[in-house]
Amino acid sequence: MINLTKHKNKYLIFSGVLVLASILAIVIFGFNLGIELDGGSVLEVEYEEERPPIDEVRSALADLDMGNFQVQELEDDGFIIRTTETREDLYGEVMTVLEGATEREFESIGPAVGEELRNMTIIAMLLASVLIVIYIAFAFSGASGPVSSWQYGVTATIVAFLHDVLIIVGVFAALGHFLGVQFTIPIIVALLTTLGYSLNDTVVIFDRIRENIHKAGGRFEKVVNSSLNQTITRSINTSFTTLLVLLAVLFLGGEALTYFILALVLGVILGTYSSIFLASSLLLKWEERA
Amino acid sequence: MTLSLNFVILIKVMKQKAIITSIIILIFAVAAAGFINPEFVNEKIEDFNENTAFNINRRVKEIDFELGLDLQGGAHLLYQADLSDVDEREHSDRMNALRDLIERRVDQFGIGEPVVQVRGERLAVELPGVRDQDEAIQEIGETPFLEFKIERSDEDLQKIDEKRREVSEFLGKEIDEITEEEKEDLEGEIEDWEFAFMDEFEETGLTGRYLQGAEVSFNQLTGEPMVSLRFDNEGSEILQQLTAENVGKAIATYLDQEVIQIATIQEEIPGGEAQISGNLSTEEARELRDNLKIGALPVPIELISQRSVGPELGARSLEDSVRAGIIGFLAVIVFMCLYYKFLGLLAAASLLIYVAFVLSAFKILGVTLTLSGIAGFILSIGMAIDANILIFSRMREELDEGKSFEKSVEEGFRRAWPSIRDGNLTTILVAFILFSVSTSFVQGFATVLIIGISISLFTAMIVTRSFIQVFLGSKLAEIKKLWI
Repeated sequence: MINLTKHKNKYLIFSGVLVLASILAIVIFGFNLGIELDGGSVLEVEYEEERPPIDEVRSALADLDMGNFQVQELEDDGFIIRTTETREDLYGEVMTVLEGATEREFESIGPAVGEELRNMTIIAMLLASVLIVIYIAFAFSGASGPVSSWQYGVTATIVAFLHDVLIIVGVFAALGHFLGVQFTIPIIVALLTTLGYSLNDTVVIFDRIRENIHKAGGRFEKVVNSSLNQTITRSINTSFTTLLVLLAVLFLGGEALTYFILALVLGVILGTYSSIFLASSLLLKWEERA
Repeated sequence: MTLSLNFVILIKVMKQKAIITSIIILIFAVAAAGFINPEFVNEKIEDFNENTAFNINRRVKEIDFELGLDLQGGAHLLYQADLSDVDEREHSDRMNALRDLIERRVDQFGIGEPVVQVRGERLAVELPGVRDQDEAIQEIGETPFLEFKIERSDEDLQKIDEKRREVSEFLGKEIDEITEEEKEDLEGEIEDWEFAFMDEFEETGLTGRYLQGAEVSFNQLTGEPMVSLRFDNEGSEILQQLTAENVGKAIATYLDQEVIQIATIQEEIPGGEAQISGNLSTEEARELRDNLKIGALPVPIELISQRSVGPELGARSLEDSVRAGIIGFLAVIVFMCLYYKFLGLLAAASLLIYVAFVLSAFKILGVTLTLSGIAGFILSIGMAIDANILIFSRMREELDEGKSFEKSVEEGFRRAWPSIRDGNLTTILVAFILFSVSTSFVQGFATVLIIGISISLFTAMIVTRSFIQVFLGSKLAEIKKLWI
C-alpha cells in the first residue's frame, strides 16, 4: 500500500498557490468575453495566395467605421478580425477591403442577443450549482465517524468550485490576456460538464472512506489512506480513458474546438488530482483540528 | 448437497439467459451497423441478387446524418420583428404570416433545406449551403411584392397552349424541365416559341402599393368566408377599369411572384372595394388576409445576429473531428485490452456496440449533428467506458478476496452500480440544464450527451454483463489470470 496521505501539506500548498495565482489572474487580467456574451462581430478569412502583412490590413480596416477592432494572424494563411460593431453592412465593407480573401467563418451578435445569452448562461450556472449542492447534501446525509457529514459536503464543494472551477477560469483569464483567447459559452459548458465529473470522483472516494470506517475502523488517517489506495486505480483509469479521447480531439480535431476541449482536459486533470489528493488532505485537516 | 446442485442449475440458467441476450444484442448491433451505412448493405444485396437465383426485394432505408450549418457550411440569421404597432392578439398571426413569406423567399434561393422558425418575436432563418450571405440577407429583407394579374385573352391562351405542345413535342420534354440553353435551340425552329414559356396571366399595374387594408368577412346569406380588400383612390380607378373590361375572367393574386389566389371577376367593381371568395375556409381566408396585409404593410424586421461558415471549413471540421473520434476510440480500446485483458476485450466489444447504437439513434431521432455534438459524442465514448472500469475494478477486488467467478461478476456489477448511476445522473442533469442556453453549440452538445449517456448505461450494465456471463462455468472462467 502506498502512503498517499504523507504529503498532505504539500498538496494543500500546491493547490493553494494555484488558486491564489488564478485569483490574481482573474483580478488583474479580467475576462476577454466572447461575442456571444458581449455582442460584436468576428470574421475569419483565409488567403489562397500569400496573405498581406498584418499592418497593411490593420490600416486598411482603420478607414472603415467599425469602432474598436483587433486583427490577429490565424494559422499560416488567414486573419481573425474582431470588433464590437454589429452593423449589417459591415461584413460586405470588410470583405471589399480584404481583397483576395475568402470567408471561413463569420459571426455577428447584436448587443441585445449578447445580453440575453449572458443571462441564460448565468441562470444555467446557478441552476447547476444549486443542483450540485442538493446532490452533495443527499450523498453525505447521515455520515458518522470522526468527521461529520456536513464536513464531507463542504469539502467536496470547496474542492469542486473553489479549486477546479476557479483554476480553469484563472487559466482562461491568463490565456485571454496573453493570447487573446476569448471566454466563451463553450468554456462555460466545459466547466459545468467537468464540475459534475470531478464531484462524482470525490463522492466515490468519500463513500469508500465512510464504508471503511464502519467496516475496519482504526486511525482516521489510515482509513483514508487505505480507501485512497482502493479507489485510486479506478479514478485514474476512468480519467485516463476520458483524457485519451479528449486529447485525440485536442490534437487532431481541428482548431474550432481547441479551447473547449482544453477546458475539458483541464477539468478532468484537476478534478482527478483534487479528488484524490486535495479532498482527502482537507478532510484530514478537519480531523486534526477537531 | 441440494444447495450446491441448485446453485449449479442457477448458473446454467443465468448462462443460457446471457447467451440468448447476447445473440439478440448482436443481431440489433448488426442491424444498427447496416442502418448507419445502408448504401453498403444495399449494394451487397444487389450483388447477391445478381450472382444467385435469389431475388431479395427488401432494401435498407437510406437516411443521411443531418449535419448542422457548422459542418456543411451555410448561414444562420436571426431577425427581430418590430410588433410595437401591432395589436397583441395579432402578434402570432403576424409572425406566422411573416414566416410563410420569408419561407417562400428562401425557397427561391434553390439551396439545400432552408429552415425558417418563429421564436416569439424573432425569426430564425437557416440557409445551408449559402455562399453569399450578404445577397441572401438583401433578398430576405426586401419588401414583398403583391400584385394582381389578369387572365390573358382567349387568343393568347390558345396560342400559349399550342406553342407549349409544339415545344414539348420538339424537345421531347415537359415545359418546366426545359433549360435556358435548350430554349436557344428553339430559335428559328418554332415560330413565336416564347409563348410556350409565358404565364397565363398578364400584368395589370395593380399592385400592393395601392392596397389600404384587407379584412376577413363573411357572406351574410351563405356565411361563406371571404377576404375584403380596400384600395386607395388611384388603385380604385385601376380596379374599376380592369374589372369593367374583364368580367368573367380570372384574376390572380401574386405574392413574391407566386400565385396565392385565383378568383373570377363577377362584375365591374367601383369604389375601390373588392372581395375574394369561393372555396375558402375561414383559416385560408385569414392566411390570405395576412399575406395581403404583409404585401402592403410588412412587419419591419431587423437582423440582430448572424453566423456563417464557409463550406470548406465545415467539411474540414467534419473530417478532422471524425478522424479524432476514430483515433480516440481506438486508443481507448487498446488501453482497455492491455490493462483489463479479456475483460477489456469484452468491454471493447460492447463499446463498439455502443457506437453503433448511438449513431443509429442519431439517424432515427433525426438529431442534427454539429461540431459540438460530435465532440460530445467522442467525450461520451470516454465516459461510456468508465462504467466498465468501475465494474471491473470491483470484480477484481472480489476475485482477489478469493470469491468465485460467478460471485465476483455479480458483486462487481451490484456494487459498482450506485457510483455509475450517480455519475451518469449528474452529467445528464447538467446536460438538461444546459438546454436553457439556446445556442446551437450548447444544444448540440447537450442533446448528444443525453442520448449517449442513456445508451451507455444500457451497454455497460446489460451488454457487457451478458457478454461476461456467457463464460459462466466455462473453462475460461477458471483461468484466473485472464480476468485479473
